[in-house]
Amino acid sequence: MSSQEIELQLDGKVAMVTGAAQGLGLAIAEQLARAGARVTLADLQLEKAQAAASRLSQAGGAAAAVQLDVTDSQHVNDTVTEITKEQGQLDILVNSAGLGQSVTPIVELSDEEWQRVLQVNLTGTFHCCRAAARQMEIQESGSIVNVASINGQNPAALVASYNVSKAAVISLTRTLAMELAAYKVRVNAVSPGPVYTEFNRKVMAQRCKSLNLTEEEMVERIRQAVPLGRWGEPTDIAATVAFLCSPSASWITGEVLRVSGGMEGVSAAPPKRSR
Amino acid sequence: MYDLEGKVAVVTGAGGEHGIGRAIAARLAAEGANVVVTDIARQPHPTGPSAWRGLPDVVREIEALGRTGVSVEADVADSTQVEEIARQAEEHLGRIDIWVNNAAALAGKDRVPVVDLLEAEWDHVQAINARGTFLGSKAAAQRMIHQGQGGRIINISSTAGKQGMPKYAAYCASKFAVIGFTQSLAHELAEHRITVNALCPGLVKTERLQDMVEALRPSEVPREIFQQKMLQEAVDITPLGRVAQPQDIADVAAFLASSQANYITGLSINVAGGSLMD
Repeated sequence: MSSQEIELQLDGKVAMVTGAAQGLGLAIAEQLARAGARVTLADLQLEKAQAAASRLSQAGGAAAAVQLDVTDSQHVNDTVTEITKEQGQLDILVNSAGLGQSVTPIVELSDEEWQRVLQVNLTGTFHCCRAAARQMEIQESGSIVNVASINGQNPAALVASYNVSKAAVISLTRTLAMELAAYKVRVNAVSPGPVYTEFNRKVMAQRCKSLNLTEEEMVERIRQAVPLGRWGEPTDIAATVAFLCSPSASWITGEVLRVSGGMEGVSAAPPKRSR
Repeated sequence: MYDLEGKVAVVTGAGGEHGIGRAIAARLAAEGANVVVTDIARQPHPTGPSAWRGLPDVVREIEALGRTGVSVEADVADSTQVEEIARQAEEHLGRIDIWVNNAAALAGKDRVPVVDLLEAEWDHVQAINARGTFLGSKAAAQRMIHQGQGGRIINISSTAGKQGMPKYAAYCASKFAVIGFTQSLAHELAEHRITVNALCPGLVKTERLQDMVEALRPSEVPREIFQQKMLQEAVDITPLGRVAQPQDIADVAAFLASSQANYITGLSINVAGGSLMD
């Protein structure tokens, strides 16, 4: 669908998207802006987020950027308060800020790496959900979408911390969906499959090394594992997020939509490690 | 909102005045599709207003939206009749892009404990809900593969397709079957860019509710009181705190039918106000 054909289903809605400077978060922010939402792109990388926001504004959208460290709960609370004060409301929160994990078996996984991933992917999502939920309860309206992963539903070997963080995000999503339903606030998640983003390229580069494959071979191997036979585009994920935020999904809450071309997960068990 | 201009959709079980099938057909037409609507030849619903004429009225509604509507009376449990649906779709509208398997058996003597469930009732439910979905999907898939331009198959399962319920064994088994079938077919058709997904509604306020009331109500409890109790129980288990309308389901079907859902296949999506999260 071309952008002109998207009805302005989110016209005038106030949205915050975390991790919006690049990758999925950016595509989501773009799609929400095209659907008429006023979007705040929140990211650690302020300059990139600002550049993206001005591109969206030039294209006719309403977008602004803020620097946000989702692991800092006070900062998250202040940011949500600020947006709400300036815009009068907060209708949509999309939690897309996330980290990949260095590819490592659990027996070699350091405390630091375990914590680093959970801190951003899970605790950061919790901080943002909590801050937005406080405002949405008052409004008695709103929609939250968390970006999980097919790894959260079907774990892949060697990225335990990442898998666990995304499985926990799914549980958080469902718990919050129940807690906020009485306030007419819906909470859902998307589980992307493989999308060719900067994020995925980094993880893939490590996997290539451990499997002794070139990047092209790895890209092709993953493509073949997707029933629909192609990698996902950021816009595939963004379209589903926009749908979940829209009135068309008003009867959907606590749901996790897999947007993965039919791929359910990567279940290969690695061989013994050489000692 | 979506890009269904020029697409051809088939929706089975679309003749009910307050049904999910009618809502889906109208919504797809509103998004630009021409629609074939099918149902069994039926008598006016005993408890409904008699002015409703079924399929002809749905066709009128589609045409009021500026699209072409075609009605076919057919029993989805019968392969010859399902072929006839597909044949008429091609004859009148030239192709098939979207096929929605919505037809389901009326609630009746199947809503009893398994120890009292007659084989014939079991078979009847499976014939319409499970075999009907298989036959419709097969007819659709054959044509979509031949057309070579992808496609959409949308199966209406139920939250009872993921969770067992007392007195619903035949129904639950048929709706579980729809989900397994959906996943298998999604794998088979992915290489043709045909996506296959299921929707899982909870209780929806349609005329079927009255059949369920009649099937489940103890003889000493008045109909209105039992219906009120059923609706209240549904609200109580639904976090969003109301009973679904057919439009709630049609909204999601329209999304799945659109190019916005290009990368989604094999899913069974709960559209149930949070009453089931799995």
